[in-house]
Amino acid sequence: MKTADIQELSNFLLDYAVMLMRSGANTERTVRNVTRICKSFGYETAIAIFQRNITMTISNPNDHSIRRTYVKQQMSPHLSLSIVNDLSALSWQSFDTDISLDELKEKYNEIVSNAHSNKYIVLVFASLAIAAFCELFGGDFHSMIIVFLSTIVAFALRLFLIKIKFDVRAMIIAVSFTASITAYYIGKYLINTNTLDVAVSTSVLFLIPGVHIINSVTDILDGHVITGMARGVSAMILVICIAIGLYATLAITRWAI
Amino acid sequence: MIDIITSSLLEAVFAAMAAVGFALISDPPKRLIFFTALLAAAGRGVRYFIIAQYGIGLSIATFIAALVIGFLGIFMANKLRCSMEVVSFPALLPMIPGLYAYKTILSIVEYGKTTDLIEKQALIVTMFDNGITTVSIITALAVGVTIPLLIFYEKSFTMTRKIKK
Repeated sequence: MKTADIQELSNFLLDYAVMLMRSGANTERTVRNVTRICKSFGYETAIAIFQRNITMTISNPNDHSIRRTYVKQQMSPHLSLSIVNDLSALSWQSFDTDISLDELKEKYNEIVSNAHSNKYIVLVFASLAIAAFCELFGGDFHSMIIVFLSTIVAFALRLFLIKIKFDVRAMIIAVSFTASITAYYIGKYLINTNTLDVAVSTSVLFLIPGVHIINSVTDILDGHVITGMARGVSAMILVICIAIGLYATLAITRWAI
Repeated sequence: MIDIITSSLLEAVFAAMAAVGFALISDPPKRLIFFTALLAAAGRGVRYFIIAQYGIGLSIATFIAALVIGFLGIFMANKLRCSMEVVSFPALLPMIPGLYAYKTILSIVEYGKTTDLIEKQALIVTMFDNGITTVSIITALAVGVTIPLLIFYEKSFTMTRKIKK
């Protein structure tokens, strides 16, 4: 049985749990991964996860006076399914092999530091995706070009606002407004289309927090009802922000289907 | 019949395209993007096919499509040694009912503007029609993909394990 200093282990596991929650893992997965790593070093753990913080107790099963309890603030969400996947694999690696805590930390840092994909590639593919989406909703070819262009503009704005650390709700309102109004004016003055309503309505859809909505349902079904509800409410707030941006466009252009 | 199959396939191709973009937004492992696209194509194609062929309602069809994505997702995740949600969640996104959500908001806007009582009544009906469709589709997606996850509950947490025991 490998072993590690309890202080170092608890520091690492708190970072690990916060990073998993931030990247969009569901609560049950986070609890299980943390428990698994903890067990591999011969410790017991109990963990409580809330929307704003994580509380964790780690103790030695043979000597309960060796025990650490910490609370750590959650970070703001930054979706990355590859981090979720790789960190889960890391927990199994810790369980199945005799990898030491230092090596574990090294691998963790490696996973976290080079996870996020190239922003500009994402921008192009997101725009293509929205164009395909527009076709699915019955838009014609011209509408597809319109939403492709509007998404490039709005997504670039989104990247910029994320970079200057704008508040996420204000950011979503601004981006949703930009996307829809760009789509509307391109459709009105530059490219003729018969399905402008489809173009305007699909132009904001890349903002939908799909993974958060689904995570909220899985959390509730797993019995983590409070975390699930909290996730659902924060996802709803983001959806309402999208609606506000869209509403602003519709109010300005005074135009309906 | 041939017509329906061709348009289902076309629908599937566009769904795959959409899924690649949506998947990239949520930053998945690169090797999985192709499989996410496959799942999305399967889901959307199945949904289009059963609606066109058997005339099933949109929400039920979405539920069945989400189940298909869920089961195929479990199968693929097991083969690829990755977590199931990583490969199948982005595949659901092309079925998000954006247009219905949009129409709901639109009728709320119109409702605020109009003063005519008859028109207001008509708008309430549209609002609820589209609103209920939106909510039921989102619920169908989330529950549909979770059911396979619950059936293979223990299994679903061991999929990232490299060594099979």
